[in-house]
Amino acid sequence: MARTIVITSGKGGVGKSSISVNLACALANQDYRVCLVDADLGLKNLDVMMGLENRVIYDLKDVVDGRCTMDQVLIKDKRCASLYLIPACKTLQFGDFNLEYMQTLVDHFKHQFDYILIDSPAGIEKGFQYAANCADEAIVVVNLDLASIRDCDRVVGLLMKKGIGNISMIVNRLNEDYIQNKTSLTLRDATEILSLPLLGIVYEDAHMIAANNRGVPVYFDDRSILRECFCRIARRLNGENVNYTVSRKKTFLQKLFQK
Amino acid sequence: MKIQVKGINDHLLFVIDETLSEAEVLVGITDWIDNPLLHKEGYFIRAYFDFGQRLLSRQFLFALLDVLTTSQQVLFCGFNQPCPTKTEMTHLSMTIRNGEVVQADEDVVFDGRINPGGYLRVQGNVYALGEVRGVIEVHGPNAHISATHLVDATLCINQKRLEHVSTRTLRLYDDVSHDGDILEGDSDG
Ligand SMILES: Nc1ncnc2c1ncn2[C@@H]1O[C@H](COP(=O)(O)OP(=O)(O)O)[C@@H](O)[C@H]1O
Ligand SMILES: [Mg+2]
Repeated sequence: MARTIVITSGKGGVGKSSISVNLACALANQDYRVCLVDADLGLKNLDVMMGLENRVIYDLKDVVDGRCTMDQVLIKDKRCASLYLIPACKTLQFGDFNLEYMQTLVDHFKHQFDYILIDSPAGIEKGFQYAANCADEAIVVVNLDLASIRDCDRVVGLLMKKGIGNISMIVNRLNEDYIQNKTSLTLRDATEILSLPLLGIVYEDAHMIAANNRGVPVYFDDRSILRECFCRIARRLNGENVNYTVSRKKTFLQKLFQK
Repeated sequence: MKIQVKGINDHLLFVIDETLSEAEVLVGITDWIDNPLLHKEGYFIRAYFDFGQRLLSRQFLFALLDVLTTSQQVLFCGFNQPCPTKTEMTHLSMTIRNGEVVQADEDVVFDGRINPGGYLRVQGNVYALGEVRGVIEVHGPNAHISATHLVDATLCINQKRLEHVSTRTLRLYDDVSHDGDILEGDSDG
């Protein structure tokens, strides 16, 4: 039986989709069978980010309208043998869709996969509700800025109300220099406010943007430190105890006196 | 005696046992009022009734007034109103997150966190032990808030608002601290 995990954040643009894609790759690379669900129904971008745009034949609307079977909607990834995508579609509106349908879909695939990752749209409206209702666990993605943390806090409250108790967080776009010169909040600020277990840290890295635009997940880019980040997150998700390190950057005064 | 009558200064105080039924109370009071001992020439004695913690029904009150007005022996001066005493105190231990509102009708000992945008709304007093960054609202006579750790919190006491309140009491702890934040990566080197 698959673990179904919704990846959400409240705020848009914090990196839910990027993290869903790369975490899925990392898990698949560790030989888990992974199904990635693009629940951002009206928009669809996971297929673009994974470079699978041209392979999309059927999408969710076709399943709903009965033009294909549930299994036909799955798209096999180019690079990972055990990774599949269920693409969203541009034409399907939430109005056409109902919750039971989404649930049926997830239940159908539960037996074939180890992980079902659901990339939730931003906000706390219908799209989020659909995505969250099908999941047993949640990963919230947060940036180290006030608005992101506030929104995340709101979302965590809503997830808990739905009975999703297993919630962990990933801090995305962490930039040590920004923390150092107090441009951004610190990791401690986030963990204190949200009081959630930290599943991992993903650094701010231009490779991510480039990778998303090229349609090759940054996980496959050896030059990027992010590959390691996602490996570690995947291992922690599997219950492994992977340590963090302590920042070795010194403050200005420390540099002044110690060097 | 299930109904005692005490003379206090210029009036009578009827102390009624709480175990009596309403019907028994009416009969008892009628008996007393008919008692010639209470009858005074020329004026009416004032009567006051103490029902203890008994909750009085409307019918009972009307019946009582009926008895008193028909007998024309005493002057009804009032009765005590059992006021619900607040002895309840709730212990809440939780995180109130952005957008959540937690309400209580009695005093609250709160030892969780209130995040920005979270509300704790209480009819009574609040004793907050955890970190408060959101809003605490208390209502009621003499309502008050005691808190140990406020960070930019908002406090409302009977519609009066205090914003951006920060306090910190002495906090002693054994911090297994490190110099910087933690990071992702291997710990050697
Ligand atoms: N760790 C990161 N470093 C740099 N850019 C990132 C990172 N994570 C995400 N981005 C960029 O941020 C933008 C929004 O990311 P996306 O995953 O689409 O967010 P969401 O799905 O939450 O709306 C994209 O342009 C993406 O390339
Ligand atoms: Mg997205």
